[in-house]
Amino acid sequence: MTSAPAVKALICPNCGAPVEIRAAGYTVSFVCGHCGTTLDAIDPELKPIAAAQKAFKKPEIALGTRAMLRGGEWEAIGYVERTDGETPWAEYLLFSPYLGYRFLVDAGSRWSLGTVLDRVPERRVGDRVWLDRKSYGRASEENYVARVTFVVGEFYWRVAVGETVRVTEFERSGALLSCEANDAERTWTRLDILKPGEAEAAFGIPPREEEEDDDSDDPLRPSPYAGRLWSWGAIALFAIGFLVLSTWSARPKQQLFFAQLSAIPDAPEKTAVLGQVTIDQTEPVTITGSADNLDNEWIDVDYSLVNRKTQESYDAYATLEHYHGTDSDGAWQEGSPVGIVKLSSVPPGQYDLVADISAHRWAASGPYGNLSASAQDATATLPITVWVDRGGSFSGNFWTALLLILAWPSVLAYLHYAHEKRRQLAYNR
Amino acid sequence: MRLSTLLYLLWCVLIVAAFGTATRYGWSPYASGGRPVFTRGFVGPHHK
Repeated sequence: MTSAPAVKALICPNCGAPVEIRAAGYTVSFVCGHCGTTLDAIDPELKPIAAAQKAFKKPEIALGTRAMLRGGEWEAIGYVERTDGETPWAEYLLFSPYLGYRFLVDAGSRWSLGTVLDRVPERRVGDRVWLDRKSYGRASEENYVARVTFVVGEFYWRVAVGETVRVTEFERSGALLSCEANDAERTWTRLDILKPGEAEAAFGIPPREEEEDDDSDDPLRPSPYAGRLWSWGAIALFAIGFLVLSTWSARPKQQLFFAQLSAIPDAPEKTAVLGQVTIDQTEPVTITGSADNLDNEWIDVDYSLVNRKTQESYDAYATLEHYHGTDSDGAWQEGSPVGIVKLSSVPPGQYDLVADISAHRWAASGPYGNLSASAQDATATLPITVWVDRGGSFSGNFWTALLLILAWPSVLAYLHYAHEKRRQLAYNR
Repeated sequence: MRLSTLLYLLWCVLIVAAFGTATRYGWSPYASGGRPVFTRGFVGPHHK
């Protein structure tokens, strides 16, 4: 549209009242605001097309009202009420000589601004359509028929009470795609859900009150959590990246020593100094013990890392064990012959690693199933290998930090998901 | 930037700083130490 159409002042041939056609040149039909008679706006004599409507009413936004809304100055020129048989709603036809037509849809507690598309959605797969590279899902399984119940003002098509269209709706957060079809044509309209109070403030009408059973988080409006979900996700990704880098940089640095010793099952506990450990800086120390020849036996090892200077002791306990036997389900085995203990924040210094070792043999039968008899000689010694590493990090720290970082985005994701579910339910009501 | 996003950013900085410090000094609440009472009160096979 390149030029502003002139307002045309005319007389209604039915009631004789003065009427104005605001979009002269574009308007096809006109409903007199005084008597409700539908007139042919193309005919210079405004020939009546349909008789006056019996129950005539005035729209809440008076026709001719101008308002700034979503980047344009609009004038309300037409008003139509429609119903799907259960729920009524109203639509205002807005006109701008520079931007064309829009529909302001009044659905009670929610307003939306509709733009008739000059193209069809880019593609359609199953119940989803794509418009401007955005995906819209089918709002409900069933189509519905929308019927005009009241009309006043001017329109760019011949609208009349009783006119029906089949409507199929697709939705995404904050927007709807409505496909309206009749025997002659099919039109696609994109409806952007307006913020609460936005339309009322623009057209100077009282703001709508929230429905009693509605919370301020209207499910038909865009999810208030979607934007934050992306930014929080990005922050979480950076934080997790740091955790991974930090863990990688703290991988075990050096094996401090390696010792071999032995234990005799059911012999008195013995104490041995396994070796000397030198720690240069405060760091964790990992002590790994392994006994590969266990045969229904276990070894208790009490480690003590004793500072030579201060006699301060860092203690830890490990069990090396391996059991096997048979029961009604067949053969079984359990227990780990490798025991790993990790001491945290060991200060720098010279240490002796002392171990109290006692080995035991489990009875061949007992309350916990029938164990295979040990093939080893009762006095046979059990070789144990112990090695000590410094450095490294604790996986428990990593998983705890990960949990704490992801906790809030998880709550946000849940709220977003719940909002989307409620939106789906609201459309399907 | 929303206040909630700023607070979450600060939360992550706090967690990352605590993790980095704990890693630097090799500290962990999950470190071994002492003879566990509840997890290893029983020795021998648990098979039934």
